[in-house]
Amino acid sequence: MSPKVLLTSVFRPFSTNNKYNLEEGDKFLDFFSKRLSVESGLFPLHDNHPTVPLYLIAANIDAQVTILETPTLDEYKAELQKGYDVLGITFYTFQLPKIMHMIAMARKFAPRTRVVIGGFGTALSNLEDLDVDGISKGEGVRFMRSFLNQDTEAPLVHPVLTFDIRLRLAVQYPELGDHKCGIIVNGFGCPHGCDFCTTSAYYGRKHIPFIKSGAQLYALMQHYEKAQGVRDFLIYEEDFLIYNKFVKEFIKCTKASDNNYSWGCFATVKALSKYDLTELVKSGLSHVWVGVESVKSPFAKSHGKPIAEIMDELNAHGITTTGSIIAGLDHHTAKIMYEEYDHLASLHPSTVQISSLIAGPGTALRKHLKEENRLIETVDIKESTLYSETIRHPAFDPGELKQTIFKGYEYIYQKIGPTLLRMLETWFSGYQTLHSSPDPLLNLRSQILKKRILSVRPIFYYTLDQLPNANIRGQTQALLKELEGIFGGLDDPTTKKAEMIGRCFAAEHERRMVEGLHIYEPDTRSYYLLSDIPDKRTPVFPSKPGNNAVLVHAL
Amino acid sequence: MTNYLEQCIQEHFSKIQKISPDEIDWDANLFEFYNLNSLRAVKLLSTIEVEFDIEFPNDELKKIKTLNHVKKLSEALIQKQDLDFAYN
Repeated sequence: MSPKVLLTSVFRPFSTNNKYNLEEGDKFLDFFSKRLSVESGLFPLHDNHPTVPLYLIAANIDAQVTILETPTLDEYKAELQKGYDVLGITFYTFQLPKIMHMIAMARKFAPRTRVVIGGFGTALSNLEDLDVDGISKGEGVRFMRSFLNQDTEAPLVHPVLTFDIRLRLAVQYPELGDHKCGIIVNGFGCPHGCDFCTTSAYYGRKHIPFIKSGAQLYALMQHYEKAQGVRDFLIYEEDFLIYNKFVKEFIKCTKASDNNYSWGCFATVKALSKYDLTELVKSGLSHVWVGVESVKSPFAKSHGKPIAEIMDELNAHGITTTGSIIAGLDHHTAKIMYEEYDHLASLHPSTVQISSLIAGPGTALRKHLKEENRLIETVDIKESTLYSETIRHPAFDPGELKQTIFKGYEYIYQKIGPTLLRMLETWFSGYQTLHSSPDPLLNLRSQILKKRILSVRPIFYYTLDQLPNANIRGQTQALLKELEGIFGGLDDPTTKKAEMIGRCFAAEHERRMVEGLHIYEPDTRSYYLLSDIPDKRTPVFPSKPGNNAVLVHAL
Repeated sequence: MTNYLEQCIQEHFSKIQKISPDEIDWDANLFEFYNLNSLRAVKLLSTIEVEFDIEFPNDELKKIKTLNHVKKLSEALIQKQDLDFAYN
């Protein structure tokens, strides 16, 4: 008889300012509006990312598994009372108070259930004070298999995981539509070992592959397409392009078929510098997150071609980018931060992340700063976010760095416009570079870019007044005109769509003037995996009507 | 209820601090005398919250200095009384 396992994220709500949440904590797991398109206007993007580790573990243990995501406390309590053998809760550092409450509830309402915790929150010290039966640090599948006395080396499967990207506004106006992307977990950890990197420290500066070869990765993409019609992917891997042999095998697979997949990844300047970009474009590279870090990046991973050259080349090929920088490095002052913002804006990233320098648990930076007595250890745990001030900095008073970060987001928004406009510009730039290429694969990429351009441009026709300033409005009008010159004007159905979008923007603008920012709370998502699956390659369907299917793929 | 509450606080605090229930001083400062760290403090309060189905308001947490505060505040919350008296 398989054990009954409940895997859950922490409970909601996230938007109530209380002992569990910060005031701005409402965008839980929304990587766009919280991190990558932090903008004051109505154009930010939004996504509904799943709690990935729960699905990876569920798909790779022999158990009757229930997954709960963002439950209310009542829902969590009701699930606990169904009688599970094991409860697993994943959490981030700032969610520690929530997980403690959930453990206390488990002990009261499910006293026979063994409790395991995992996730980046387990990098915290003193967790042995918690009343749990296991702490999963690092890769969780192996841990959970071991905890359940199952074969830790059994073959792995990858669940089909997707998320939808949409305008933040589409949370209120679903008619605005969305776009489905697949999530692929390629591996964990990072061998670069940058001194500030919590991820690298968490996995002991080692790389732990999940997918073993480029051919497996491509086969998985094919499976996603067959199962859910997904052709756009985000690959989870700290520096995907550094695994040269793997990537070359993957590229070879994409060339051997009529590849029309698009994929995004995280990559360093060091790794990107070693590739012929057109080869990556042909294989479907469509988005890269590059850690710009600073004009004077002190990290080895930043060595290679000049960052401006790399970003120009990516933009010219229609590859959207995320440029991330760190605020609060030793040489930073408020004035220098604006030089950083100017530099970042000059690279024309589609999305940006500005985070404060954080000396996470286990990092070399933390050790070094502790020796210098520069750690601020009184920070409320719930404030341990990307923007925490946990390091004493001679140039910034308490609270000043965080303010500077958010001023930076706004500065970049005012300077180069909203994320979505930047994406449109990059796609158009790529279309212009690739559409006349004699290479059929490059030509195919230009057609994919054209499709994206045509699907996004209606958003701007009746919303120009919502753009941040006259410069950006002028720039957008010029772009729309140029697009009309090449692709023609809007046809009747698209005009109607553009008008509908304009009405949604106008309505939200008016609503916001009266009621303020819209608060987002995720729904509860629950999945039930059937028990005793003899062959994990068989699709696993939910036992409860109304829930989405969880499909798996043998690696 | 009070006896059960007292018993519950005593039991969990002694378990958390690994001391005998008889050694507990209800008026001693939790953070200075018992060197209670924030993790253990939240653990104690979470357990009480769940056991008695109450919620310590955020503003009250910083005022708690002793186990007697925990007890009086819990009593007030259970009986839905004014919270100010808990610190007198």
